[in-house]
Amino acid sequence: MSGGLPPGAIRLVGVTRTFRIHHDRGRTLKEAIIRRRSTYEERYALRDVNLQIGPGERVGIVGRNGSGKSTMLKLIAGILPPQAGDIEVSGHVSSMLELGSGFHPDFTGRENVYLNGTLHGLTRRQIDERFDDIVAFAEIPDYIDMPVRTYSSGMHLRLAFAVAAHVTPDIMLLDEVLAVGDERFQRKCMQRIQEFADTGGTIIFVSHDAGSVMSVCNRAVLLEGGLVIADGDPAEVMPAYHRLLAAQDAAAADDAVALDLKLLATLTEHHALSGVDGWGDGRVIIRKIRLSGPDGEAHRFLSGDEICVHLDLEAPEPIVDEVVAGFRLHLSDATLLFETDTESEGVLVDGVDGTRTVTFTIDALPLHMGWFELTVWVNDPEGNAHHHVEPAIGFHVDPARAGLGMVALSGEWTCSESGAVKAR
Amino acid sequence: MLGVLWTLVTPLIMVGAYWIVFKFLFGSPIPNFALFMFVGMTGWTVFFGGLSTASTSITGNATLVTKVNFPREIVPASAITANTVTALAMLVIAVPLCLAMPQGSRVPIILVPVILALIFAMTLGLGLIAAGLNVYFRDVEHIITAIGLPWFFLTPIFYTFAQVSPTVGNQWVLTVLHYGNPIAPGILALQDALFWGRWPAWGDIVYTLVAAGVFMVAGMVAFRRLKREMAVEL
Repeated sequence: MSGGLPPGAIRLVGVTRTFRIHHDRGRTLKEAIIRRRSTYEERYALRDVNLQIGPGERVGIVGRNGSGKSTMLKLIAGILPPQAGDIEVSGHVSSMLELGSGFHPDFTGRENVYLNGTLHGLTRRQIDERFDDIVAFAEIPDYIDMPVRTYSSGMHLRLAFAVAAHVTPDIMLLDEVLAVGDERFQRKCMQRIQEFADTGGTIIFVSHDAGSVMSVCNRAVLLEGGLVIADGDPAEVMPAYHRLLAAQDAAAADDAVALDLKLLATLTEHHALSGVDGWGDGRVIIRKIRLSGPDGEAHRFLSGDEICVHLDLEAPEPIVDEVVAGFRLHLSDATLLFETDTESEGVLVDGVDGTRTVTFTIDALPLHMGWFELTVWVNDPEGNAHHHVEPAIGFHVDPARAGLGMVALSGEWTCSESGAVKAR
Repeated sequence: MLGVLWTLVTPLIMVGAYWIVFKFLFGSPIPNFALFMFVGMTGWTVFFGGLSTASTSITGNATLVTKVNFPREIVPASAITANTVTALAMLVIAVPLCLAMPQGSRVPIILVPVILALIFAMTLGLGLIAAGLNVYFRDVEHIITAIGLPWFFLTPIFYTFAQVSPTVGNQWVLTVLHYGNPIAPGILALQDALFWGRWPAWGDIVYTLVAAGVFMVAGMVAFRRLKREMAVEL
């Protein structure tokens, strides 16, 4: 299938895939012979998708449910054929579409490693060579000769990932696999994926979780209604994705609002968050929200950096009453980390004539690592929204020292001298 | 070993029941009737057991087929192979008993692997079609189950065509039963080589060879077409 593409490259040209939604069941031979015709409608899963992925790229595919993410992965994996267009995939592909789906519950772990490895295209010799590594990675040496049905779901998953991770492919397809397993195992998977990326492997990663896309991927593709509507730096694409989700919530709240492709197109035109999204009476709008660190404006910071959150306010008509600007720092699932506004901090913003910028300065960013988001607003003192954008911007924090987690606790370890054990 | 014995339980019970009906009640003229039936049933089990397990093989492994890209032919082929291996366990009983039989020669037994291989190939071809169709039409497996018993009765397993008096006028019915049923010549050849100790008729061997080839090609062509959209329909 490699039409001159280097190993690890993927090219989709004009790829369209539809599904038939059958109105009646019509799935038996008997009915097919008697009635002959069944009604169905065609739904697009992907339409005219063009995508070129080079070796070593780490591409996150994001989008709402039903936007075509999984279909795209299945097309690349070769599980589904496209109706139109060409898909070229060069090199060996390891797909982790549903980890452990190939496991037979009555077979032992050892037998399933061979079964699954074979399905992933390994020869018996190759599996023999890698078997010990696989078992060591999965951390189940004591259980390897027991039937897989006796495994806990975590063990099942670890073994499945271990097999898939030892296939040494050119391209790795991951579908939400990191959403499962305990934290330590997730880290181990991430590490393995990182190693794979470091050796120049191509990764296609489908996920709902902005944090894992940000940490795994160096490119994000946003799908909506089977179309690629944004493609680029995850720091820019992910906020567009979140606005899409927010727009969906808004549309669900108000049936009159039709969430058509045109609206989506206008939504995604404003990658850089020009302040026209969100809601409110618009007497004061947040024209732009900017994050700046030691190196100027960015979406990526180091733990402990001094960071400023700037809200560029703009009043279409001069406003003399007090306004209250604020923001909320939260995770992508809306877990609140911190909320502040000018009024509660005793800062008076006495009206806006033209433009005005309010800035909140964080002396030393107390976040350790991960993906964080800001929701921003400007209200009147009674709490009526002039403009509210949720979420408005996201940023990534890299750790400045060892340790794990979201929050950086400042402090240090000490250790006492050794002493004798006291008899009780 | 116990597992192999278990697989023999069902055919042995079947043979017991048919022996009561056809030997004890109807007085079949065939000598060593139970062994005769057992030989025929071996061929039948390779064929029809394989066909019916193949028909549900893809739908039964839907998660695998929708998640992993590998040659889908492996699924029905492995189901048929597994069934054949268990069915061949019946030979463990049949072959020694047949070797001890007084009638005929022991030499034609060398053809038994060839005949079984041809039946296996025929099963593989039909099994691929059944497995592929069952993805799109879920009643295929039920239809196959439903035609199993009449098909079994119309196949010369507990009777021989030679039993029918040649004076009976409707000889064409015998011809239809013999050559209209793709598995019948294969079963007859198996009985000849193993039970009767005589060389099978050339017609039966050639027929089975051609049928195996035709079904294999048809099965592979049909399956190649059917497998494309499988992941969608599952």
